Amino acid sequence: MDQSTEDEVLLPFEREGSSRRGFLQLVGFGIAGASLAGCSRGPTRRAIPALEASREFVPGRPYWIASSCGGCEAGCGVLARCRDGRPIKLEGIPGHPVSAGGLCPAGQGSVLSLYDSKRFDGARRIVDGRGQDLRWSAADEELTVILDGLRASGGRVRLLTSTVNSPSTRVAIDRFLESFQDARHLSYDGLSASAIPSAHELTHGERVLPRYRFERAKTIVAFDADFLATWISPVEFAAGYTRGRDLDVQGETMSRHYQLEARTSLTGCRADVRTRLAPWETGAVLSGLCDLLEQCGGARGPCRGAAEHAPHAELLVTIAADLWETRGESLVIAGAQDSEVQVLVNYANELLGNYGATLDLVHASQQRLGDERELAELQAELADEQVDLLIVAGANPVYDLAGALTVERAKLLVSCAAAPDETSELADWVLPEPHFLESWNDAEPLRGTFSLTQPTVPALRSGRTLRATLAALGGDSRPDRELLRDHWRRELHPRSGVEDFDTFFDRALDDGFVVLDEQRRVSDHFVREAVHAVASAPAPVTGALSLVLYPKIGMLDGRHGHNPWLHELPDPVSKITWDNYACLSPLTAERLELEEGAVVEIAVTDDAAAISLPVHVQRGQHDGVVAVALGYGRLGTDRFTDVGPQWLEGRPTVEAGSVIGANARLLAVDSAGRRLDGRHVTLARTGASVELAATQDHHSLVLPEHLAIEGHERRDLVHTTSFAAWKADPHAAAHGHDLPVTDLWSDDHSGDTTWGLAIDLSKCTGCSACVVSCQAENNVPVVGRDEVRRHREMSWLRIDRYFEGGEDDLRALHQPMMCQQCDHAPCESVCPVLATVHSAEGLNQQVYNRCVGTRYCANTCPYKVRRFNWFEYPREDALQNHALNPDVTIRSRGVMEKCSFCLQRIQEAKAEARREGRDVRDGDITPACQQSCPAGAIVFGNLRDPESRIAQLAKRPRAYSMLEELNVQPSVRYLAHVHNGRKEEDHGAH
Amino acid sequence: MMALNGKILAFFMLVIGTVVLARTASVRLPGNNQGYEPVQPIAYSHRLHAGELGIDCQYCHYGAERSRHAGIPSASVCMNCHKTVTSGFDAFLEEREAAEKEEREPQRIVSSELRKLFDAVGLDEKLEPTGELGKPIEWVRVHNLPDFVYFDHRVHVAKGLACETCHGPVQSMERIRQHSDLSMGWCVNCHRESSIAPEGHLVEHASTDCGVCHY
Repeated sequence: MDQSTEDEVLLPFEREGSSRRGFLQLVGFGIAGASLAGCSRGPTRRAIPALEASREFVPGRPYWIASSCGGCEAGCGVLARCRDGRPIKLEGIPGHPVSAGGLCPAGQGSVLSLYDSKRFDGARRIVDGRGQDLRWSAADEELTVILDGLRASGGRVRLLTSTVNSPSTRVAIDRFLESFQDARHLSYDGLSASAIPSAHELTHGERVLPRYRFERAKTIVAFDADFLATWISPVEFAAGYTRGRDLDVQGETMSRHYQLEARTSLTGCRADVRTRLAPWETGAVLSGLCDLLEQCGGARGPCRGAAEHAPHAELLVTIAADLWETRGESLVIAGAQDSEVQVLVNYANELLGNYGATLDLVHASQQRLGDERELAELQAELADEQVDLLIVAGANPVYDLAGALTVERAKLLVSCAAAPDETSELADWVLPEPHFLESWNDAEPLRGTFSLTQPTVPALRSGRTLRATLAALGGDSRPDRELLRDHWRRELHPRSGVEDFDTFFDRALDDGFVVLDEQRRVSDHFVREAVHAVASAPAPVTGALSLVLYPKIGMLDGRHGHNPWLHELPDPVSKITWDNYACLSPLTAERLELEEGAVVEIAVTDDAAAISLPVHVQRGQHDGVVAVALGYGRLGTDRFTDVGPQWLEGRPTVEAGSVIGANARLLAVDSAGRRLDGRHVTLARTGASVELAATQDHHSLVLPEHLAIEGHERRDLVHTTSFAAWKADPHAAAHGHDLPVTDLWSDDHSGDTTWGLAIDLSKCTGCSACVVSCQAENNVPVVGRDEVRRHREMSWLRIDRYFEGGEDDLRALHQPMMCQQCDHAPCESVCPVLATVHSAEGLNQQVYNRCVGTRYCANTCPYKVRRFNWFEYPREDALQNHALNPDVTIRSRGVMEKCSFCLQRIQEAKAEARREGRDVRDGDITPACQQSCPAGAIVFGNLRDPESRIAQLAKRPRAYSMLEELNVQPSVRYLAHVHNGRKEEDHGAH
Repeated sequence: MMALNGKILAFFMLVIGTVVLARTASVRLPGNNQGYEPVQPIAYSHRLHAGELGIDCQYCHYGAERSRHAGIPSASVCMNCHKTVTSGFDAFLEEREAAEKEEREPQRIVSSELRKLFDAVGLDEKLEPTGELGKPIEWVRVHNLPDFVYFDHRVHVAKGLACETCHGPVQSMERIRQHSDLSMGWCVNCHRESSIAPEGHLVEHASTDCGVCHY
């Protein structure tokens, strides 16, 4: 018996249109026939065991492999959860100096990129526009001949990369380039922070990027730096920032965060005091601040008198006083790509004595080391066609510089892109790099912290790291692992103090990282002569706006432009998916007579560059700027044309042959290959209009007034109070707690377990890591732009955003919202088929195989957390199916679904506990959202165990339940948001 | 109109008929594969291994104690014994007798079924590696659950449930057969019963929550 004996029967109604009754008749026949025949078996299923049993891997049992994230250059340590030989989920390594157990949305999403079938497979030579696949050895042979020619002739070789934080790769690069007479390594970053090292070169005599220690700062003053979302090392910073504001740990103190910024950033929304700052005034304001700090210190310095003319003078006095009071425990940072401004930032930190305390130059960051000043030199060489060989790795300069860097003018262009991109399109050779989950690598994100990357799966596509490629082209054809081990043996092992190298390396592999003593000496001499006050730059003329480019939390510089999870992740501030757009303040939009969705042409005033984008009206933004997200308009994003369901009224996510969004960098480069900030642009309406796929008004908990009972029109959703008020009275945020509880039902369950979740709104930064983590864990499908517009996004966990305050002191409160697992669940009483029922452990279970899709439950749910499968949502292709979590059912069309508190993880933990013959301990179970949260805002546990962390949290005076007045008795507790604003603000925003 | 009524009547009779038939013991509902006993690529005998030789179930199905899946053993597990045992005992004795008569060294006898195993792991007639890659054995899966059911072996094994309780008298099955109907009612009955304490025994409290198996 080889194959299935089951015949595939094409039912008559499938052949031609037929009535519903006819269909039912046939179904009746079908069942009867099947029963009578007694043969109802599905197709034969095969079970194919491995040939070789492995001691470590048991089929069906998850295992973890420590590695490093390659989602950006921050170098977070990750644990890859693998099932049956492939990684399905990434988590941060607890105790890792960078990730500290958390991970960002881009990191969470990068597991999907592994299963991208569009990645290159092996070396490729492009001749006359046609690709030709080659074996690696053949490619090496041909290229070696070319390279030998260049070595002999003294040809000019250039290697262009993004920041290389891998020490072994840096050595390989040096060794490779040494063999040429005229060779150089240039690096730049898609999201650059190069002004900070440049400023330190001036003030400290060394090109260094400090490690910022937010946890040690009592006062944080940030100018335009979005450090909780995308700036340098957001996971590390978010963890540090929340630790410095942890009401449970810090007790008597809480850091105060000032943010002065032009656009409305996620970090700005979380600030205690936020004000709008024109980008052209940053230098003047910082000069004023330095002047005030000089005055506090009684010194006369280069900024004398700057405070008099500085904008925001009143606020600056407050800030300076706060900073001075906490000197040595404060931090001033700026996101501006302007070394003059960054020199002022260094000066402020120096005046405050922050170096060595909140800015660590010994364990300096290596996460953004690119120096884009070099790009102008490269472009000059390229323009003269003087470059014989240009190798591009880990970077996409054609996109990042919007064509201003004419790489195609190199005589030979080699791209190491993992998947087709704008640069590889122009290349003569493609030597693809592997995905980080299938390769060997290392990273030194902070001086002294060494992370290892190891394969978690046999390579799905044939690729080779830059280190191995350069070694092979230099005649060293050892396997990549050997190259890596060799470097560690020579450079790192002697520093470790461990006797045996194998022990040292294996332990590092097992942990994923090793921290070595850093003996670096740094100069504590501060060059004051480098500091001088900066005046305001010219403001845009009437009618023009200053252009602000910013990265989005998922897309970053565009490297994740082919990741559907990250495209569908709502921006935490604008809540818009699948697009970039021109953000305007409400006043500016009104002045220009533009409304949400109106397509405008953004044109640079002194250049021909222009792009068209829809308008988004963004509260809290400066009136003189237009903010546009980077990372969109990537080549090949028309692959998402067919993402989501295909049906009669469905509109494609992107028109075939088109791209998603527009590359904003087109507006901000000059012909010399330089990237420019703060260019002046004008906006002109094109006449077109689009509907942006924003999720903000979906699943609203606000009650329409005509439906509300008198006195209940206003629902109190996010509780907030000030630190001062909370200290005076811990119950300050917990108003409305003494509602009478009436029970219509007797207690459903009398067991000793009620699972609950506590979410500290003071810690939540709104970064959305939990949203992508949930999507990866629970097989939540991507539905595409059109379905999002129809309010049909499937995300089990959403983050509600509430604004409070006026345009000048806007604050956003973020509230993660998932199924509240109510004890008196309204959904349970309306389900006609008992597809949603209560468990003995207090969970509101959704039984897919019982659900008939009446959607009554979604209608009655007060929290609007239930999602209906309007369609089957297939993944892009079979390869992407490998990213699915085998422990969670794939829901089919017509059934309801919702957050299950990661029931599969609960069951797994319980099974393991039973296997070991013990009870489930507090902390054994972590749902996906809790595990990925960089801020540690989410805690899961048993509410009935008085010793558990969650029970302790639920007892806090700050704890409250959502919509308590409905008496549905949810199992999720929110801890009220506490801010540390100067002003005593009214609590009780909604 | 008459024709329509007749059709409706016929339809309802069919439905009722189906239900009545399904309720009688001899007819089973769709999805019930009780008694499924497919031909396997290798005529492996559980009767011989588990019954006659008394090998512990978990020697081969070692996942049962550690994982959701009991697992089907890798060929390398078979080879633990079958690198020495290459044929049935009778064939071995016959060859030894014949060799004694003919005054020669006994030859290695490889049974036709074990030949398939050796082919799979890439061994030649003399059990030397052929140098070629092996080819995994494609067993036919007997115990199938729908995709929305998550059964966990390890919990049941940890609680001391005997394999035979669900899998039946495997030690007497020449070819493996689905003993139980693996229906939800069958699972739930056992879960209910194990929550009633037999005299002198502790209550197991096997949960009957939907979420125990469906997630």
